[in-house]
Amino acid sequence: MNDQNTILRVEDLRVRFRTRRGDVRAVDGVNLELNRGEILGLVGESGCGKSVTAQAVMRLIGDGRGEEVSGRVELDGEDLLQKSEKEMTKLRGRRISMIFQDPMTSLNPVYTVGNQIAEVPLLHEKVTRRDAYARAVGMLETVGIPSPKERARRFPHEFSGGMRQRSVIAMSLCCKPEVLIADEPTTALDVTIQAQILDLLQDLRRDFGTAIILITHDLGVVAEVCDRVAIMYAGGIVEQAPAGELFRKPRHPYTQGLLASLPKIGDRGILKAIEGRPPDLMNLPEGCRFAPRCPHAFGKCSEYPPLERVAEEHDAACWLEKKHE
Amino acid sequence: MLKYTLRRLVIALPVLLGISVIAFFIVRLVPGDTVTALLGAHYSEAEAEALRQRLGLDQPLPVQYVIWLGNVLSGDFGQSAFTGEPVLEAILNRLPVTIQLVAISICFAVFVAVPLGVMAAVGRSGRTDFFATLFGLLGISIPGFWLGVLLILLFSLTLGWLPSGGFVSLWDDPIANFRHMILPGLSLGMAVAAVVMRMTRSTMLEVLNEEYIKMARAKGVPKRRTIIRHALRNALIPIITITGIQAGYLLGGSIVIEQIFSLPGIGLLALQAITNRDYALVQGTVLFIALGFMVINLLVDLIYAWLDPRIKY
Amino acid sequence: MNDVWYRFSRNKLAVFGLVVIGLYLVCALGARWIAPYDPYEMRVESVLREPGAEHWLGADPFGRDMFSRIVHGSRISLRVGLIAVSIALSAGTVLGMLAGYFGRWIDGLLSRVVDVMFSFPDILLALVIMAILGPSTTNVMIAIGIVYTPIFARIARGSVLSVKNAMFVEAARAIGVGHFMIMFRHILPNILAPLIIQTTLSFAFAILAEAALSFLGLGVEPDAPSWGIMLNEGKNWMEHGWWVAVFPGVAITLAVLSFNVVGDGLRDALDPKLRGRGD
Repeated sequence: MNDQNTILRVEDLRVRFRTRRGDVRAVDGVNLELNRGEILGLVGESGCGKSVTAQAVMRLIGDGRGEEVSGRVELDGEDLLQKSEKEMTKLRGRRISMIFQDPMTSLNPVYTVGNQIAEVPLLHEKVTRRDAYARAVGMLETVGIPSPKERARRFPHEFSGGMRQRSVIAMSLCCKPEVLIADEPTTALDVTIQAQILDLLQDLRRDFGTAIILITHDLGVVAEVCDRVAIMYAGGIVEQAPAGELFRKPRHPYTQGLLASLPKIGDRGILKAIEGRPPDLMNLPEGCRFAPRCPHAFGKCSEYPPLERVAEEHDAACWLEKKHE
Repeated sequence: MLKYTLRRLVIALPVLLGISVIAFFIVRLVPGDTVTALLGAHYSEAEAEALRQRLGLDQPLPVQYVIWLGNVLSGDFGQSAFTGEPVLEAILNRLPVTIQLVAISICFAVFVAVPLGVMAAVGRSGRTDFFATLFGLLGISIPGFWLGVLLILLFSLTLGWLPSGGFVSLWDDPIANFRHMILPGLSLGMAVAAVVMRMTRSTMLEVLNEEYIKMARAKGVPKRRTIIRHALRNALIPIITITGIQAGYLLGGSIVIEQIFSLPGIGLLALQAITNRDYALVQGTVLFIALGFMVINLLVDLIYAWLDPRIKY
Repeated sequence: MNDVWYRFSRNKLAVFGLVVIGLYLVCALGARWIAPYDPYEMRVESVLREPGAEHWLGADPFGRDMFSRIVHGSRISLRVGLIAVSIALSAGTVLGMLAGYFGRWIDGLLSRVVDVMFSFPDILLALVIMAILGPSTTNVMIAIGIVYTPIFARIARGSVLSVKNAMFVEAARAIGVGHFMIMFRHILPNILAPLIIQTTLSFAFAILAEAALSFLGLGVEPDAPSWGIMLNEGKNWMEHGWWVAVFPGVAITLAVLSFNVVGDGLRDALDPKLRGRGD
């Protein structure tokens, strides 16, 4: 379907957690494509399955008790879900990396920052300890940490939040992976630091050619850095489009609701929240998951709407598109 | 680090003084006195008076304390009222036995408990975890002295593999020494193993949920390395603390175990001193055991500070 | 409260422990009717009789029925446990609350004393106290009570410190409620959970300690049917009959285990945050 331009393709990804009270369908048929070197925003409310999607792609979930993952996750044509844990271990950190929300807890408190970064090349490449450490110091410089040589000897608790997230980024990009999944990398940071980290990610994408999936619930962040955006709701993708197009012409009522709830400078109008709550993942509605909250819902919405092309490079999963035809 | 050590030592001083006060006054409260015990039923008042004077028992208590403390600080712990042996000598003679016993128990405990606790946490709710939980519960519930009795019943009386008691010095015959120490070491170490295992399991469960463990996996650290280098290294801090605290309690537990296995250690010495109302010996042993307890706690604090970079000395 | 009970009742092990404790309680209260023999009665024809129809758990070297002695032993263990823990709980809580609430020199003094007491292994401290007081059931209770007082003091002090500056305490002080009223009406209910857990676990310690002291001959009166004393006698005779050394130990272990699992269960039920913490 797509050319070599696609580095990561997720097809019909489903994640189910078996609990004592029933199955939780955390991710329910996600389709995504990530092009080389692009930044894709993955947006949705908390609990919609963004993080679970990311961790399933990394195979950080799927092998545990009561975790069930199905579908395909192709990295450069190879299905990650078919790989053994051993093969995955060799891929993680080298070809596909991930950073997490809270930089305060992402670093191991008992090792120096330099050693933690140096561990990555040591694991994946045939380098000496000394070379790996030199690489780590170099990476710290690349991510903009002043006097990196001295800082590399420091422990994480001696770093500020922004510096820790920079260090984590240095760690995840040390082996120049093709894909980086950033799970809300700025949520836990101050607004000014947020902007710096986002700038850094953009710079690194340019310099390293790493494609980034940026998971966030903040549409402002998306507008700032993303090339394309995928909107997620209750375990599925409901709309996907280039960032500019999505902001100008949102097609799915959920996306429209999200945008309407965003404050605009100079606009004193009342912000409109979306009525109702997301559905219970243990008990998803048969048809469109958004229908119960949707102002435009009609009879057809009791069937599940597939994600279909509605304009150039623009997909949406909504029956309204067909209704107007 | 040196500064931290010194500060800890300074904090320990008043406690040390308190220990000496208790060690001294506690025996003065014992009903019946050494004189009566020493002289037996028939003695003249003059004889008793002379003995009291010789032992310094005719002075007021605070004076006795100061004299005693001065003597202790210069290394004179007095003499056993029964054997006439200097107390310090008696203690130093018995010390190696107790140290060896405690060391064996700790080694047994750590080498069993830490791997078991780690495996239980990694395979949470699995078969190993069930076994470990059972081991933990039984370990903290079975009294050491009953375990000792059971082990003697099985390994000495029924199977005849190991001696049921007594002691051979490590220097005289290492193999015989080991054969004599293994059952007491097991009986004493079981409770510690259980506590350390429970601690290891719960801390590992907590650490394994930390974000930096997920991060380690995300950067491609293999499972074994993640568990040992990233998780266990962090869990080690509370594990060592609890092991240290337990090591202190082993000094107390050794009293009972040494009695069962007739091991001539400090615990047995203390017990005999208490039953014989041997003042000087009770003071000496109590002081030594409390001191040992404090030294162990101090060591644990230092190791703790050394292991955890977040602690500033 | 219902919530706590629900969480507790789902822990099968804890419920098992509670049932066993109940059985011990029945034994202790109804010993006279449950025990088939007089625990002190020596029958020459029963000396070291094996477990069987006549003597369920065998008979000891003096021809006393083991089962009857163990049933009566539960009276000693539970009574010592109850009173020793009550002493430690009340003394420790009061002292700890005073130290935590008033701070300053009271706190300094008490903390030092607690530090000193903590630097003695508990068995040693209990032994020394027993040596002073002399062997008797009452003295065992006192000795164990004293030994475990510092633990309660430390817990109470810590808990008071953590709620002392909470809004509801400030509010009470602002409207002129007296110190003691604040402590007992406002603070105490808020630090109950850790105290209840420690109380249950202390029962286990107290039963163990009584058995250990009696085992060493510095516990209850030498002819009393204490499990520790039975074990000590059994130790000398086990070559001739394993049961004299085995059954008293089973009784101790089962009792201690039950209090431990109930304590663990209560901890999980009262404070879900601490779930799975070993110690």
